[in-house]
Amino acid sequence: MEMNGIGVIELRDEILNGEITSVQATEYYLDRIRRYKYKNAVLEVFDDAIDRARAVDEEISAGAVLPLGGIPILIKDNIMYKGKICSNASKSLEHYKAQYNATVIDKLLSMGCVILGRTNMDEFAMGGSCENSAFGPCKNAHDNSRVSGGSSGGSAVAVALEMCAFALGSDTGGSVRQPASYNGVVGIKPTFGRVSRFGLTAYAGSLDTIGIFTRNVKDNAYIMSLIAGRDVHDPKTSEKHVPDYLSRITGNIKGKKIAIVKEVQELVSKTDYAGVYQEAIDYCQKYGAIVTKTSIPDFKSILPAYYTIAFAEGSSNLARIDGVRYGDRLGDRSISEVYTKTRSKLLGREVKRRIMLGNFVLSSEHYNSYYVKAKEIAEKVRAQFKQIFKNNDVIFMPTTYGEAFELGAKTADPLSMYIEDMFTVTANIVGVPSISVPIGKGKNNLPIGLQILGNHFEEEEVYNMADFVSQRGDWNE
Amino acid sequence: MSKYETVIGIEVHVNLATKTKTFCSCQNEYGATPNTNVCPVCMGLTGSIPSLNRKAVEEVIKAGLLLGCDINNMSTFERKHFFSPDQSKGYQITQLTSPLCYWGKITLDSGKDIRLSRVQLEEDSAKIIYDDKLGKSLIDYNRSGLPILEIVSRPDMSSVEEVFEFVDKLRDILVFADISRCRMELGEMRFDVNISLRSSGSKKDGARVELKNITSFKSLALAVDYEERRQSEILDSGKVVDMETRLWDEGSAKTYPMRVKEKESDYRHFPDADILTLKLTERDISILRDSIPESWEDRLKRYAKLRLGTDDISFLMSDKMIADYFDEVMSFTKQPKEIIKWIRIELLRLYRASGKSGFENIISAENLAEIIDLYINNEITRFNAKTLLEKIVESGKSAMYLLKELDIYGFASDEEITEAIDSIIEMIPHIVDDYKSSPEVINYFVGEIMRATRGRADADRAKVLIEKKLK
Repeated sequence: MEMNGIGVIELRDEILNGEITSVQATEYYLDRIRRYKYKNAVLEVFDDAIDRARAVDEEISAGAVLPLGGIPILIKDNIMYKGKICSNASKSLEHYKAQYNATVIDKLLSMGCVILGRTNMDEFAMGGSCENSAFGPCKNAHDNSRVSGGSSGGSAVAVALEMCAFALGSDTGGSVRQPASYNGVVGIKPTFGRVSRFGLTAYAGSLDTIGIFTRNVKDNAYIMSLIAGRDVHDPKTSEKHVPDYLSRITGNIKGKKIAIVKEVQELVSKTDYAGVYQEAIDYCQKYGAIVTKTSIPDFKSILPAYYTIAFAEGSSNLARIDGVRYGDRLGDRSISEVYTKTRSKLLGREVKRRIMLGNFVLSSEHYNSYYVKAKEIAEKVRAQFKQIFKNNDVIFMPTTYGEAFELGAKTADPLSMYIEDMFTVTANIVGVPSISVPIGKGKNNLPIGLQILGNHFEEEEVYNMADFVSQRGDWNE
Repeated sequence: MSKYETVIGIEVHVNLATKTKTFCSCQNEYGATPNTNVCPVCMGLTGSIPSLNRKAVEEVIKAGLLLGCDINNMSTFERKHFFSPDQSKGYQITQLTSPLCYWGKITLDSGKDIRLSRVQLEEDSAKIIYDDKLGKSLIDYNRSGLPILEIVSRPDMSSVEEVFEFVDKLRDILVFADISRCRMELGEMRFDVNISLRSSGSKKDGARVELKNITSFKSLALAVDYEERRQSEILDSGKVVDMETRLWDEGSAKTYPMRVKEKESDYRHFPDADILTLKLTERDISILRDSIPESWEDRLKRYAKLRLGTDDISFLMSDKMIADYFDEVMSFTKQPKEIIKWIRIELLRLYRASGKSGFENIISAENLAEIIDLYINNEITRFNAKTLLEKIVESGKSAMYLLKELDIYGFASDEEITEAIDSIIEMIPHIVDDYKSSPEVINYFVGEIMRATRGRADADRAKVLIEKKLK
């Protein structure tokens, strides 16, 4: 049995048919996790992974047909898996064990997944390079001197280097799509409300989504159908029916309407991957898609609005990291000493920066000129998107501004780091699904991703288009 | 006329009597083992998401309707940030921009309206307990996230008496609508009071002082009184009262300024993105209006129609349990005055001695009604009616069963009583002389007759017959 490059659906079939056991698959991936340890993609391998694989093997040999039977996976370190450390790559929660399962974890376990471990990330998902991890940066899958992207860098690298069959990440402003693009894998951020957030450490509750990393689009669509849906523990999940996304992938895009955005195109023309990007558009057009030029007049305001909202919510959500109920605690003389020491010593620089900025924009003095204004911009942008989706099925955009940058290149300049998110934050502000799919390589021979956005709850359009784009065989030539 | 007028507004926090907490399905239960009614949501664990308890929303709207409020058809919840170990998330979920209910009033007996600015829902904090033995502060999160009804009045009151009447009426309204039990001793009703003084006749209010942490009626009176005095002394000396928040300290019966840090904190209110905007239709509101049990006011009117004295009415209205039990007994026998008499004179005494909670748990309304009927219809003596009541409470058996078992039905005839008198004189001959020297011995004599006739003798009739005999 050849494991090299195997996809999720294929592996599931092999395991169900008895060609390979879950234990063997698990050992294969654990071996690769060891081999690529220097990438620092995986923070911890759970010591019960093999036992769990053995138990699933027994279930399968007893006749159980599980949709993800025996599939070894990795999860981002901000998703609760009961009894396992969930540190959010933060010193403050370095020893904190999850007290309950996230809804997605419950679902994946019941479907037969074997959770191998937890992946590296920017602390509390705050960052776009995975350099803000308290446990060291994760390196790019293809170049040790470059960043993996973030915040879900560990998950992206783990999937790129086959340390697992697929991985979970979370996406608040591009944290799945950007590292997917940097490492040459497929990463989706679903519609807000499509997948339960219960058990995902909140960064910005109005923007957070759980996303999936895979090596191909069909696998991704297959898994999405299994984890999406209404959850009573997350009141913002939708009652909407979850389609079988895989079966909606037709291999045909004839007549599909692709919107490209004037304000985005202007920016793309200045990049060194403009050609690769244009090729993708031309390719779709060649096969019958209709490309229309549209406009999002407020495009340039989206990034500042996004950061204002994300920082505000982030500062609020992290107020609970106080050392009182859980997590590590410093100081013992007084409660204010506990707060001050725990929060100033155990939270990282970037996290503290965002908490302070968040507190600033929420302060009664500045609330109206920052937070309220940002919400107004978000509202306007939503209306502009609604207009575009009236006449179009998907929107094409690049995922990133370029290839993965060098480690340390932007750490001294937070603004240049924030600007990297320019193309991805839009989908979170609007709440629509968005996928990043590899379309080629840049001048440094590193992967470049195409971002495909769909209308609310139209993941199937996004998957169909992404699958079609990915079928062109010579992207990586 | 005094030199200053007092201007008082009040914020009342009341625990709702819902089954579960505001944002999770943990039990709302007093006195449970610490930290047993907790879950990821009310413990503020990472990854948890609040789910609004519909019932809590409904109870607040009911309160709003009873208090004459307008109901917001779009309501939002905001986060109020501050660090305190009893705050599980670093913020409290409350309402700021669009409370569930706004405006409304409580009318005092004088006819004066005390206006309400808002009636809203928020969550309670955990409880901090200082353990002397351990020398540590412990936190019980059972209280974390319990639903609280907050009622905010306008500064329309001008005396402690008015504050008292306001709070008293509010409590009656809430208790009689089953919205809260308002048990002060369990901290189910708490007050923050705003108080300022202004020169008599002046339109200009003085600096407002907020008093926090008042948990009893007694403290309420003492705190307002103390603060009135403190402020008038400052004004008398020509100084200016600081606008500030002060803490009432029950031990020293004084108010103290809160630490500057807390006074100046910016709560950074903003909408809680986890909670959906609550939309209410006119239909939702009218369904709730119909579901409100008889209001305190309506019940008062109903009792007045029974031609009861004010004393009896205020006895009934003093406790919803009593009033409810009274209504239940009334459904079996229409003898309002007699029922109240039995409850006040006999049942209350037995109830207190029993240590149980609720009259129903010592005698069913049906059994008490039967006793009253038997007595009223002259089927048993008052003495035996009392005996019957005591035996029911003691044994839990039914009135009809005990009536037979004790053989106490009916009245003893004159002959039977006379016979009893004769045999008592025969057994205790000196009783005749005793009676002549001290006439109160007759009570003992009657007691003996009761024993001999199994309580079936009419006491007055027995006295007449004794006197006749010993004349």
